[in-house]
Amino acid sequence: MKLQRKKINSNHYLAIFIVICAILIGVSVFAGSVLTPVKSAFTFVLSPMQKGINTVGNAAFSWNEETKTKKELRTENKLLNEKLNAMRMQNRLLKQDQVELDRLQGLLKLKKKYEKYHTVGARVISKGSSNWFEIFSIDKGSKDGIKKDMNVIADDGLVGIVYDVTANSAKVRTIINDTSMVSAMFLKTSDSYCIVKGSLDTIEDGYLDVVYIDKDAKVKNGDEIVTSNVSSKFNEGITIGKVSNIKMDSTKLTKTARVTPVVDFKHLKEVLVITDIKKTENLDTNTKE
Amino acid sequence: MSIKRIIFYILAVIVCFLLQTSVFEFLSLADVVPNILLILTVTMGFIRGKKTGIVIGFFCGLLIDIFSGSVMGQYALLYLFFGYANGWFHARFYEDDILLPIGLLAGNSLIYSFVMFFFFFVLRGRFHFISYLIHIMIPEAVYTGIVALILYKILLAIDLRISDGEKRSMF
Repeated sequence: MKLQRKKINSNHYLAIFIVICAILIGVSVFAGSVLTPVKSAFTFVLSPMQKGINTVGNAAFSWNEETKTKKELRTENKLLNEKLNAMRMQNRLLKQDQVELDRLQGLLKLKKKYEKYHTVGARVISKGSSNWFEIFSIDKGSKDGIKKDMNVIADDGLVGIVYDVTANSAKVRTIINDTSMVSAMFLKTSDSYCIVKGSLDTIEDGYLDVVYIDKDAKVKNGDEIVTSNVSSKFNEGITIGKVSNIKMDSTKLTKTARVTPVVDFKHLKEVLVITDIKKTENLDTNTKE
Repeated sequence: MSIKRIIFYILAVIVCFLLQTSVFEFLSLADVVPNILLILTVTMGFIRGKKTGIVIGFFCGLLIDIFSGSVMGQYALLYLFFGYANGWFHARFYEDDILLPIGLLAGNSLIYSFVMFFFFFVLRGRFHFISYLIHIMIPEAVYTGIVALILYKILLAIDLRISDGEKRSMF
C-alpha cells in the first residue's frame, strides 16, 4: 500500500523524459528512417494549419502591396512593354545563336552541356523556429516525387537543397545556412572552382564568402558564379550570384571574394524544386561535401 | 489534472508553434523573431512547477525537432531542461509580480542563445561571437522580453481561470 501511495516527484519526471530523449536521439542517429512515419503523421496534421495561418497572415499583412494606383500600374506597364520588345529582339538573336550552336555541336558530336532541368513548383509553408538556421519547409513531399538532395531554386538562382522528406512536406536547407558549403565555379572561365560558404554573420551585410579560388584564376569583380560540375549534390550551372571584393589570401595560395546572392532570402514564398538529382559516383566515401 | 487543463496545454503548444514558424512577417522586428516556444516553456515551468515545465518543454522541443531538426530529441532535451530549471523559481511565484517573470524570460532567452552558439557554432570552429551577440542574441533577448510581457499575462489569466474551476469542482 505504501508503495502505491508514493508520489512521483519532479526528478523522476526529469529522468523519464531524459531517457525518452536519449532513445529518440539514438534511434534517429542509427536508424533515421524508422521515425519518418511519425514525422509524416505530425506534418499531416499540422501542415494544413500552417497553410491556413499563412493565408490569413499574408492577407492581413500584405494589403498595402495591392493598393498600387492606376497611374503607377500604367507607367509600369509601359516600361514592361518596352522591355518586352527589347527582349524579343534579343531572344531572336539568341535563337539564331542556338541554331548555330546545335549545328556546331552536331559537327563536334558533343553532348549538350546544359540540359533543361525538370522543375516542380512549391509553396513555402513554414520556416525554422530559430533565428540561427535558415531552413524552411515546403508543401510538396514524397507523394509529389520530391526526394532528398534535390536542388531548390527561386528567382533564377540557387536557394538550397532538400535534406529531409515526409509524405506531404519537405525541408530545405538554404545556402546561407551556417552549415552549408556549395561547390561553385565562375561562369566565364568555367574551370576556376571555388566554395561558397554559408554564414549568418556575413549575410547580415548581404553577401557570402567565397573561398579557395585559384590564385591564378582570371576573375574580376562582377563576374557571375554558378554551381560547379564537380559538385556532388548540386546540378551544374545554377546561378548563385555576382562576386565582388576579390582579394588574395594571406597565405598567397588562394583568393577569397564575396558573392551577393540573386535570391532574396528574406521574402521567399514560392520556390521551384529541380527533380533531376545529380548522379555522381562517390569516389571517396569518407569525405563529405 | 482536468481535461480542460490538458486541452489548454495542447492548444497552447500548437498555437505558439504555428505563430513562431509562420512565414509572414507577423512578429519579426529588426529581423529577429522572439522565441515563443521558449516563453511558453519557461512560463509554464514558472507558474506550475517543474513537472509541467518538463512536459511542456519536451513537447515544444519535439515539435521543433520534427519540423526543423535532423536529429530527433536534441531540442526536446534542451527545452525540457529549461522547463525543469525554471521550476526552481516556482517557490517565488506570486500572481501580481511581473518583474521576476519578465527578467527570467529575457535571461532564459540569452542563456538559450549561448547554448545554441556553443553547440552549433563554437564546436564547428566559428567564433564571430561579437557579431552574433549584436545581431541575434541581444535583439532576441530584448524582443522576447517584450513579447513575454503580453504572453505571460495571457497564459497566467487562462491558468488562473482553470485553477479556479478545478478548486470549485473539488467541493
